[in-house]
Amino acid sequence: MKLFLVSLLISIIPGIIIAWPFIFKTNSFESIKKQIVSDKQKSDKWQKTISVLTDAKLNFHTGKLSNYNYEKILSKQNENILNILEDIDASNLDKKIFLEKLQEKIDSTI
Amino acid sequence: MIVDTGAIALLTALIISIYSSIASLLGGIWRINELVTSGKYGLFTVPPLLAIATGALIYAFITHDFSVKYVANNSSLDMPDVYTWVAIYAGNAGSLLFIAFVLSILIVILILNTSKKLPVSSPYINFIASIQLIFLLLVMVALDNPLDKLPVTPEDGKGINPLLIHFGMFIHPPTQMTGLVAVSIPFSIAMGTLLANRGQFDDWIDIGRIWGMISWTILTFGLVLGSWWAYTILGWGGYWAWDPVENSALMPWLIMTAFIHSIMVQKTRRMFRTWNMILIILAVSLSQMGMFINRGGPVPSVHSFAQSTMGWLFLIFMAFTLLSSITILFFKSNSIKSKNIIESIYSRETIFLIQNILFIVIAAITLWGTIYPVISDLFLNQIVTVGEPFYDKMTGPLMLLLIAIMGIAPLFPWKKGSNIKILKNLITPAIIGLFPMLIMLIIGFSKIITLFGVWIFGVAASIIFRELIKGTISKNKKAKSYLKAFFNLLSSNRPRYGGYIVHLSLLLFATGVIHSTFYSIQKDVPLSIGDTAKIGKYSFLYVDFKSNELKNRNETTAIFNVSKDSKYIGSLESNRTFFYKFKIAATRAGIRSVPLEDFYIVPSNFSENGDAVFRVYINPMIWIMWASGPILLIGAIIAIWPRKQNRKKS
Repeated sequence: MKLFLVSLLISIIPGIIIAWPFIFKTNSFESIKKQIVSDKQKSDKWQKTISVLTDAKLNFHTGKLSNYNYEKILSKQNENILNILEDIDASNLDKKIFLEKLQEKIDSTI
Repeated sequence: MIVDTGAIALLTALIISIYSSIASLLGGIWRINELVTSGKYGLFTVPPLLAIATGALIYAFITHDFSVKYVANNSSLDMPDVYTWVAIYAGNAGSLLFIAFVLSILIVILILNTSKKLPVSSPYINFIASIQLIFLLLVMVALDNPLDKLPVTPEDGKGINPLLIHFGMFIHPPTQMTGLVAVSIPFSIAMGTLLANRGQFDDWIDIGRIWGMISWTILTFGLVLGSWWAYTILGWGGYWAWDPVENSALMPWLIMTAFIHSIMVQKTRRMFRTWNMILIILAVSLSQMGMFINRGGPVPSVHSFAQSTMGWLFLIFMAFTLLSSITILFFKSNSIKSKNIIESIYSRETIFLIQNILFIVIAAITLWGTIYPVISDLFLNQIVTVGEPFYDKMTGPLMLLLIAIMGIAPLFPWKKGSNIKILKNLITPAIIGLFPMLIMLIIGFSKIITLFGVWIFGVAASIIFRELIKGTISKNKKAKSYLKAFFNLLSSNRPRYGGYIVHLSLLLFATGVIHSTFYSIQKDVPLSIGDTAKIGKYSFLYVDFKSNELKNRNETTAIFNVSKDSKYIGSLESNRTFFYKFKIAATRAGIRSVPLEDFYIVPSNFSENGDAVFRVYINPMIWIMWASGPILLIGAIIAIWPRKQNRKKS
């Protein structure tokens, strides 16, 4: 009888623990959503930066943008780039590579 | 009742693990958070359940409950209670319970570690990690339950293997088993990330590296402790015999060493993604092979304590792990292709690649030597055993080359370096390396190979010291003292500087290995009480012998007065114990150890009047090898210690 009770206890406690999330529903995939959204946001932010820089360069070269405004856009976008690189925890070398690639991309687009 | 409770807990642990594994996988695929969390909670309940099972086994040992088969086979009435800990893993079933218990705890830590940092991969990581746990629990529950009962209870048990009655056995086997099973944690992280299609994000690298370092450090300690145990208790004068069981622990260690270096390339250059996956798959397969060899594998070993007939099951599981991992890697390989390439041969990534290849070649040679007896039996119809000379000849030069590479690696920058600059930076260390070589020559170590080895070690050490000194000086500009600057330097890049300290300890260890290999002197001396003998600069007088007849064993101890250069340096006791029930003798060497050399004496059979043949060794620089252990631990802790997370700007 004692053994029966003990075995019941041993199997019931883990049973309750694994059933817990179904009884008291947790936030459904909140953290996963956050990560996926965050990855997408970073990617969108990066693409947007490239497009702003490309447009600015094109406008500057075609005389649509003054030197002062062009510099202003550059400095703002540089700040954006650095923030993104900080966010993805890039190493110094990675930062350099990212910036080189970015430059290549902008140069090739124009 | 308590034993039955333990058996029920073990069965429940198996059921919960199977459920958790399935729940984690399906929860991950279908993105059902409740299922993932339920699987996670399930894995949290496994360690307490296995603690109940282990507690029940300990209780059975302490109460001498010989109705439990495992207790009857691995203990006896005269076994001191303190050896209960050793008896738990002295046999197959108990060691499986120990490994499963440790693995379940590691899995809980892994879950806590990855749930928030790798939320997408975490369910898959939990799934992979629980597969090995299920295998171990299934083998226990279905085939070799440590809590199984005998139909008839014997009056006394068979007793514990006498060779296990040694202080080293309290820590060496558990450390080694923990190290082997811990390899499955970085493997689970890597495979789980692949399954979750997040291989290209490299977000698993930091956690994977830390777990890789943890398992590597535990494996290293297991190996060092095993060598120390072999040296002091097995009484053959050496510390490494290239025994299959030793090899089976060495092979995953070699691959893990390659992995913890190569993962730095992925961290820094986003390269070697597939290569790192291959390394971790190899490491986990070899660690499973270690369990196979230790459990009745086909290769004879001097210390397969946990021998059983189920080794083949472990081989099948190893094949399953290897095949399934390669299949996952094959289908996901496109997603982890790196865009970066090796740009120059004068780069750190090239050095790491060469070093990785060398580690793999040494592991392959060791594997070949380990399984060759089986191959020769299958194809040549004769068992050809592979001995020490094969391994020494094949791996010795490669290891020396590895140390040379380890030494010069800090001179190579990431991405692209200049060969002229590297050569320039090498000149001073090459000159400084001559000093230890000259010191060794003056002391009397004149063989070319060891002098060359010491020069390489000297070059490597001076490069590391230069890095540490230069870094400290540059940090001293801000810090007020050199000591503070040194600590600031260590914490500025813990993996790098912790790694350098580990490298220094390995150089010390290698110095010990190379000298004890080439300068060890051995002599067999027949002696009667009152006789004196000489070996090298040592002379020793056989003063007396004591024979002690006990219930289960006969202990005979010889007492010596030892002198060096005619100057008395102390008394030594050397012991031989014969265990009646096991019909085996264990010897305990008399060792006088100083940094420069060990005087080591071990007896063979004693006659009634105390006459015996003694094997005497002078082993140079063994002390230095053991001293390298604590230094390695300090370096590894520094390298493992996680860095402070910078608060991100909102």
